[in-house]
Amino acid sequence: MSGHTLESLWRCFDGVVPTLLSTCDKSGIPNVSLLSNVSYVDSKHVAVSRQFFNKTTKNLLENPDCLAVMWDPVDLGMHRLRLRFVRSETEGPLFDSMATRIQVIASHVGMQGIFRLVAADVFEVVAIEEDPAVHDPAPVEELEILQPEPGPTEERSELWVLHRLQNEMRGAPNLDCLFEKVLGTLEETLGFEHSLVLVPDESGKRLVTIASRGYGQGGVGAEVPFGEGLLGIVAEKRKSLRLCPMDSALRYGRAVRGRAVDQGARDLGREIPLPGLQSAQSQLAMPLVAGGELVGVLAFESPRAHAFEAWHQVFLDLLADRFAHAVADMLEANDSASAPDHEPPPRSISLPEVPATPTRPSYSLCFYKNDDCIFVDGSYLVRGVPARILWRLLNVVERESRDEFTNRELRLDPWLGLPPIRDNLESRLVLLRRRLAERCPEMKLTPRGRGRFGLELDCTLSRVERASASIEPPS
Amino acid sequence: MVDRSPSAPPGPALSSPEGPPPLSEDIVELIASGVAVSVGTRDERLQPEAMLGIGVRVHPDFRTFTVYVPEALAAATVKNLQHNGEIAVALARPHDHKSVQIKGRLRELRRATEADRDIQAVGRSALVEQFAGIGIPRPMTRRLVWWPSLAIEIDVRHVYQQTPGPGAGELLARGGL
Repeated sequence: MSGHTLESLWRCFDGVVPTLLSTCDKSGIPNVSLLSNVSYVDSKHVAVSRQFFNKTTKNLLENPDCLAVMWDPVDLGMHRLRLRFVRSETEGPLFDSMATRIQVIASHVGMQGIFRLVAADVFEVVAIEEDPAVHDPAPVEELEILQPEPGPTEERSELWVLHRLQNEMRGAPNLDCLFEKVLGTLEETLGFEHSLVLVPDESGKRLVTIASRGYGQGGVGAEVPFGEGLLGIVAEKRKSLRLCPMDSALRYGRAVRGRAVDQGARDLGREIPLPGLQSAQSQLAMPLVAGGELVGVLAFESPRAHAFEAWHQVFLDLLADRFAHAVADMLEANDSASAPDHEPPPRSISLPEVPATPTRPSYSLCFYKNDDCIFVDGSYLVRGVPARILWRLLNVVERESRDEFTNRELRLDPWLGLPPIRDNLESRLVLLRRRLAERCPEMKLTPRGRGRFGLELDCTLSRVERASASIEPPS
Repeated sequence: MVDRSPSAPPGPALSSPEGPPPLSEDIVELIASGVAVSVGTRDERLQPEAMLGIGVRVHPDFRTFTVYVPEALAAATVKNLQHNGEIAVALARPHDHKSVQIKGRLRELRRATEADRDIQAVGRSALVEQFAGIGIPRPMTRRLVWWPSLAIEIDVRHVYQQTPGPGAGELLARGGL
């Protein structure tokens, strides 16, 4: 017996080097098969995903004893596990978890619905044998280049990090700040440099990127349909997933909307590319669920192989729970704060009558009514509820010379189409604020106390409404 | 160390010398592209055993096949082969999982010669390249122990498709992929 525990072999479960499974039928004919992934179940059990009934399955039903040979993808150490087939599961949490992983892979390779999990085969780990000496002693200089990259620079102390994150979340005055604090702290403490937060849009069928870190400018507003790619499937299944170094077929699928683009100018440039690393080697995504409701998805990626360890997933599941409740609490607090009975009248302003100076930029905005979409100077800005909000605000500025607004008045406006409960207005405003900051920073949405915000315009605007972007045939 | 073939008990009939040979050029080409070699045997209690092979060779008759295993790691495999002669060899290309499984019986077990070593060196280099394709540093794969080796010569009984997906496990006619 070796000194290993299953937990100490976590890198072997990443599925980089296929696991070898050796079985034998009742007549004594051996069989060897390669498994793309073996899953850790608990300290005494592992599971194998089965997509087809095959010779291995037949052998296991006749003779449950087998040998798994696993490889550590970092040091190429070989580990031998004596296993005994226990049962096949076709439902339940283990099956669901493994099926979700299969679904992500199928989505990446365009085989959704075809490549699916038939069963999760569960094995008891009878023994972890002494590691065979599979390596020749290597010269020191060669070994030096094989050392895994160092982890986070700070001393790893999960509780300390969780405590700090908790405090940051408690102290955040608004959603914007909450996202900044959480993503920033995770980068600082755990070295997670590339992160995203996505929230469901008003249709409940898409995720919209609302915050990103480590990707430079852009990306806010990028959409992912539920059920597509890693992020869409995490949202649909509400299960966290960790993907490790993958071959090219499984690399992170950039699940931007699969909408067919109609011909003409209307749709050109409307997609905002989902922020992502071309060289991503590790991904981790987790659903943000509060009160049984999906409030978003938190995702990380890294160009480093094995950047996310098993304990990261457990740790971030805990964090995601707290984070989701913080987001939900903030949305709820905003709801209740937005409808005071005796609110003072919104502030009016006198719009500057001075002509635009050469330093004052001007923007041309176009609102396409057929799909609630705003373009700025011919480039896509935002759509859906955030687009309608902006258009309404600009109408009010023009009509009433007013630059301060309340959440309440937005909620009472049926044209915006906000649902009567859980309208996520605050997250829509965050999205709009960030898109404006990226695309036309002279148009600012600024919080002005509970349930209030301002629209500050340091630019000149020309606006036009169109039914659609279809090119009108010449008359 | 075993120098001659053990007298293994009789097993299922091997492919007839008059019938079509079970191996093919396709297998040779798959091997040439670089494969990970896995060797499966079993003991008298039907307990499976497995180990890594380094290098394989398809004989000109396409009925016989040699797999090389590092001697230092082969004690259990040798014991099993001496007992019953049953063997399965999986050849898999790690970067795309293209794979076949060869099943047969031991014909001869011997120490690898210098000529065998040349064959193994080519197979080892291809494995280093294939593993590099899935992110394993070349120096790490080069460190895998492989010499001195044993040559396990096999009378091939069947070749099976083993690439994941529909058709996995099917018998290959003449080893055609």
